[in-house]
Amino acid sequence: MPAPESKEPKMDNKDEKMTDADTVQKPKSPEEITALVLNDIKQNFVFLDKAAVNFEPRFSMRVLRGLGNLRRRLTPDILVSTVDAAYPSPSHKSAALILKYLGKEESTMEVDESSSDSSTPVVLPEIDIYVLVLLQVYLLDQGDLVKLNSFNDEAITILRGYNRRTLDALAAKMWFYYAYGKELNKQVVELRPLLLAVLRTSTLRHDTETRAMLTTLLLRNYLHTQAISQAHQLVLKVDFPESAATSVVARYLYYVGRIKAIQLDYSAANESLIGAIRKAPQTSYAAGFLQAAHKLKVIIELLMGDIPERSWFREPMYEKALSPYMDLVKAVRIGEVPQFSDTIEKYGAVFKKDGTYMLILRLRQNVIKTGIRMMSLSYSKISLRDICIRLHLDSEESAEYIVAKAIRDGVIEATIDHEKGFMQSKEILDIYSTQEPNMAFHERIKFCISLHNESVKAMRYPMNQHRVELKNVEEAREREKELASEIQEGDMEDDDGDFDGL
Amino acid sequence: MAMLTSATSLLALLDEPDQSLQVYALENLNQLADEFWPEIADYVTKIEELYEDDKFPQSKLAALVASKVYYNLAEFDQSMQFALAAGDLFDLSLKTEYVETIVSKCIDSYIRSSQEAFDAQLKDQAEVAPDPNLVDVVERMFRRCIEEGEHKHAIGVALEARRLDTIEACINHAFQGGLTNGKIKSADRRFLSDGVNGVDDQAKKSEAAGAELINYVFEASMALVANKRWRDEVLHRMVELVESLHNPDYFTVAKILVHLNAADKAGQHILDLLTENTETSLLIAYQIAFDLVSSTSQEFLAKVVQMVEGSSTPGTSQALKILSGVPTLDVELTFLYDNNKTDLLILNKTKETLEARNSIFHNAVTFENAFLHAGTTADGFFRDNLEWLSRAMNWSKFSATAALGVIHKGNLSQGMNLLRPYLPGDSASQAGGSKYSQGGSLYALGLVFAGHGKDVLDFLRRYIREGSNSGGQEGEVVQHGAALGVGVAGMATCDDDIYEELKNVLFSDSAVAGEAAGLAMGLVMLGSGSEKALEEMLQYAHETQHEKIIRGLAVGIALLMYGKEEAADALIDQLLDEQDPILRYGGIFTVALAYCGTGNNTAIKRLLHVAVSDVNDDVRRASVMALGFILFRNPTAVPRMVELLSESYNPHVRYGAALALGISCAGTGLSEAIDLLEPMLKDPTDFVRQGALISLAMIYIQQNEKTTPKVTSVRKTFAKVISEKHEDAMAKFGAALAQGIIDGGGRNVTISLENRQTGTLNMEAIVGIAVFLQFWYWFPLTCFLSLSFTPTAIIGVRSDLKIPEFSFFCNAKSSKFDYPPKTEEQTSKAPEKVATAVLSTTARAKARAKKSEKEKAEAEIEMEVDEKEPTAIEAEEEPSKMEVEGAEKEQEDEAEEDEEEEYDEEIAEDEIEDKQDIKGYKVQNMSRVLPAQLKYISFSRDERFTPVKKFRSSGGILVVRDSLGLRVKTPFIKTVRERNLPPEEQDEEDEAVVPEPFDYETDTEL
Repeated sequence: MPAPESKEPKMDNKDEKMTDADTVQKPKSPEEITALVLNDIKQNFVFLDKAAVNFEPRFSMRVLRGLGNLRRRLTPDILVSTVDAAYPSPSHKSAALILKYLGKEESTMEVDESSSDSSTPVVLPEIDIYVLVLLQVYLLDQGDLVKLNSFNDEAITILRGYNRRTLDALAAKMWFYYAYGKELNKQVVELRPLLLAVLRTSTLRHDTETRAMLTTLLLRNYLHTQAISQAHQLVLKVDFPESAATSVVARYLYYVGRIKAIQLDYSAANESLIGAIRKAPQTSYAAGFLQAAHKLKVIIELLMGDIPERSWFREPMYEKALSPYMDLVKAVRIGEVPQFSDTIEKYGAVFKKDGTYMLILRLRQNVIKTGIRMMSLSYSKISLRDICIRLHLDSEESAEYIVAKAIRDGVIEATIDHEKGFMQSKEILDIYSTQEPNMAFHERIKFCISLHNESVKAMRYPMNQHRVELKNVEEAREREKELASEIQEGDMEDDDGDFDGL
Repeated sequence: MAMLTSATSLLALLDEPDQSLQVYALENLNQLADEFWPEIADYVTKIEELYEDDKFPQSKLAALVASKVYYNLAEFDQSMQFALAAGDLFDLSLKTEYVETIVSKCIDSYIRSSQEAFDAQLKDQAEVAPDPNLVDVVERMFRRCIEEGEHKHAIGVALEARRLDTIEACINHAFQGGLTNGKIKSADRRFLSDGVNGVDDQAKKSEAAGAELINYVFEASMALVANKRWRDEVLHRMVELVESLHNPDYFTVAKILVHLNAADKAGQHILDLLTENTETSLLIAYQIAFDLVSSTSQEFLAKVVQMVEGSSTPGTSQALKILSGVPTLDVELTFLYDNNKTDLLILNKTKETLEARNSIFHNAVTFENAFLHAGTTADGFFRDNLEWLSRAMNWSKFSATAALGVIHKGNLSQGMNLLRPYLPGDSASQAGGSKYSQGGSLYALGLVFAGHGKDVLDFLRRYIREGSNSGGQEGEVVQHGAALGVGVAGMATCDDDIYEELKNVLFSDSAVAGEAAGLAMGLVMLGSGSEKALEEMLQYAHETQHEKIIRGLAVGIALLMYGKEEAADALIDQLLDEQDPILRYGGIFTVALAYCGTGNNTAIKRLLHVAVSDVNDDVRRASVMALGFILFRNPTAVPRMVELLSESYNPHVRYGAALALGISCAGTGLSEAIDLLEPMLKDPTDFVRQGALISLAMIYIQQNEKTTPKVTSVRKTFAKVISEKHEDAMAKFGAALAQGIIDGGGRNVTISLENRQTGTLNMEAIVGIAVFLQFWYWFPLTCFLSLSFTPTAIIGVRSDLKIPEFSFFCNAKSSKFDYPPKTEEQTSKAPEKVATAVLSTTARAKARAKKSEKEKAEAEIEMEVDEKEPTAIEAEEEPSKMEVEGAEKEQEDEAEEDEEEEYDEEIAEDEIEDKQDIKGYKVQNMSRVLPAQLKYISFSRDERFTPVKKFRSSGGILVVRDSLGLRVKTPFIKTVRERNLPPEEQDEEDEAVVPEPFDYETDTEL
């Protein structure tokens, strides 16, 4: 049974792009670290405030990017101080909730709670949700699933109480941890109706991030129970917002790739996976995701009859994780069926864990096909019997069938002489005389152009830059005017020196 | 039971031949649709088939399932169609997201279809009735809203959906006891209480509330309903509803009637009130009469007068007197005259700096003077500078004479006498009078009688007729002046005879006279939309060779369509397709005037399109300026809209953007607008700087440094531009105009395109600005801006039309709020300081000033500043006032003795008040109250004089009730007319107000 959750914790980290500056400078007193973290969090509050006031999702995204870095440094003390900073009084609903789950001040809490409800001052919803997300992350890292789940339920209730466009990115994050918590708690199917309902709501409200995140979560949810066809239906029917954060897009593409691969649409799957790999952040934080995507991509390429590039397997980030696949590729490349079977046997457990086992089993045919191809390339004429022996096939007849199939699929260019029992290869076509290179170039150019266009769209232009130019023009005009007046007033003698300067 | 993980099994049932199985499947799918819609979506065609199958028993259920699936697929329109098909099964009362979304979709599409139906009806096309299912859902919504007391929601939708019956139903429902509903918000409560008005015990309370309600509907339909015809329909019905009440609010009705331009009904109301003949009803009638005078056209007033004339009740003569407009002008003139705070130093300084030999500078100073003294009758500057005046040549002389009309604007009683020396005709001085001053004086006469031209129209028309006889270039000038004069004085009279006479001038095909005639035809027929006039004007515009005439006609045509909204669309389309850019220019002004103040999106789109696409600079400039007219009710929107245009590469577009800001934000001091205009002050193109200067002045009119700190530096900029040696003439001209505008009308006027009393368009102001903008081509038209100056005052008038001395309360700390009487002094003082500062810093200017025999004046200024420096504010009051008086003395030869007494009294009172002045202070009757200050003004019930109309932060003339009766003596403020009346007492004063004619002629023949 595939267990995708194993890579998830790593996947969260891929959002993060900061360098580990503070982990390097470890020798610091705990107080100092606490102060530093608190400072960061307070800085984040400022950004969230800006995001809310200016309707700039950029700031929220920025805060969320720092989440991965922050989560490793969270301690109960920091969280308590954060609550103090965020909420005007510990009797605030969210504050009370958080303190309860941190196990702090429970006794005083109960007294406050009853009296506070009427007069709670307003806290910026963005900050409120952010602090709740921080606690979600903290509880997740503590591994206390029961606590996490019950907290998630309450946090989500608070979230759904708000209806603000500016919460979009934060809400998406919260839903992610919510769904993840449920998944760890094996409540996958029960979660589905809620996710669908929220997806609808976010579509109505045009919350791009939440919509993208929920689509992804739903796909994951379906895949988790192997409900491939339902997942496929969802992909077909839901408009995935292209403008969502790239990390979510990458994940979406990965799931789509998996669905397509299982549904035998290998080229579409390959495209999705290339997209996923390109969109994912290319840092060590996203290693888990990238490894998973590469594993799948290797299989799909093999299924398509291609041989993956060797250089990928040498990348330090993938070397270890991809080594079983490396062996697999070797087997397929040579077209040796026994070696292939050995590899499956040897790494079966690993493949099952990666969720690629079923796909790998399909490769057997490819191994044989590759074998045939190798032979058709090596021999201009070979008897079916030799093929049978080479590929360890049961009989000449089955070899004949397989060769016929390979010819029909366009894997090899050959003919079979049934009477004499041999395969006759055709002359190898010069690929450069076909449309093939043209098409390949076209694909690449298209990709480059769309990449260029997307980058242009994604660029941010500094506001009012042109005003600086205007100012320069103004200054020039002023100077001209001064000069004109000086000339007219006959003060030229004194200014000779200035003229040299000009 | 284990949860279903797939709907496949149920979906398979749909293919079964047995209908009961299909129904079973649908029933289950209906429950599960939200969860398994991705799967069901593949079967949706099958479900649709079931719905369309006549034999299928549960076709509605199928429709509901299909609707839910489409909803999840975000295909809301289709989802709505199926929800409607589901009929009763679609439960409106459920509070789910699905139902809410579909219902709002239903309402949207219902509104769309019923608006289309309404428009189709308008064009006599076949009506497309909305889907009956749709109507059913909306009806159900209406019913629910009414039952739950959510009347406001229902009314809002009904207004959009053109459903008069629903609006009435809401009101009727409220009438039957909607008040008891606790859910209603305060706005609704006001609304509802109208229904119980007069029946309820708290009659008084509900009466006030009722007025509020009608105001609400009035405002809602004004602000939100773009379709003029529908709006008028609603307003007509509202008037009927109010009239059917026991105790209608006549002021609200009058307001609506003004908006509907229903003179008959307004006349009938006044008649009813006069017939009722109680003290209150008479006072109300008078107040309405005053409101009508200040907010309607001459044609409207003439109709009302016609109706009232028949009556023979005691109040009739008084009402007729008010309706004649004379008292209004008289009172306003008095206000401007008494409170004139013009700073002559600024003007003198400008005059010194700008070389009069250059005619553009001469014109600039002329107009600055005209604006500064607009309506104050203070023409001293001319008489002090006869030598300067005599340098005016040709058209400069025309403008200078016309400026006299601006200064005496509204001085009906003496206007004719004042101008007689220059007028053509049989007087002795005529022999030497140049044609330019004759023409100018006719134009001036028109300006004096602007909008109240009954008395002079015949006189002016004579010259239109005669001009054509005398012929020649000279005759043209007189005709030009006469035509402009007739246009201004006879504005919106829609008098066919005048129109025909102007047409004759036009047909003489003289460029100069024809231009004015074209413009005047538009002014006379203003807003009539007359087909005949349009056709004739357009035809002639095509025929003539003279660009000037085409331009006059183009603007004239635009004026014809003033306020016509959709009715002008056909003409606009035609004009914008013209080959001739001048006619396209006219088309743009037609958009501006037809949609003035509506904020109509189609019009804005059209203008923005032309602004960036037309090949002609003039057209582009005009279309950006026109945005200002359309959006003046929503000034904050304009800066955002023109932000990019203000940085256009095309200087004409930049100029247009500057003026659009000036027009829409006039008098607001809006900082966003200033932020855009300030960079334009440094624009490389001279005329853009001119536009920015003028617009800044329009926006900063009547602002002081406390409300808008930047105003001081802006004033400095004006002075700097004028004094700068290398500045372009265009910019200097703009700066001089700006100085005139910012302190216009003795600092007692503002520019407001909306009537504060009624919330309707201020026709004179809008037309004034529109024609003023033509100064780009023809300087004498600059004078038109004076039409848009509105005095800012609260003037209480008793039923005998006397202005009693009393005071009302301004509920703001004088320190916090800047416009108590003494701060008014400060406002007038601040610029003086600026003026002196310039004097002291610019050493050269000072030296020159010293040379030019102004030492005496200098000393005075310095004294003035010294006196004003101490912060004891009350102490300042007197000397500064004296100072102003001193200035007036110079102008008027002598000041009136009794007035000085008045001043003394005021000062004494002020001193007493100032001691209690911690929160709020008293304001004297007939003193300056700024628009921003109005909301702090209140009247005490205990005072002897209280306004008859509930004071709702609208200034102007208020009829006051005298609790002690007319016989008890009280001090009055005499109007200028009264002061001039008894001849035996005021020999000297006659001279003061009717000055000697200026002797232009000494130098002109050089």
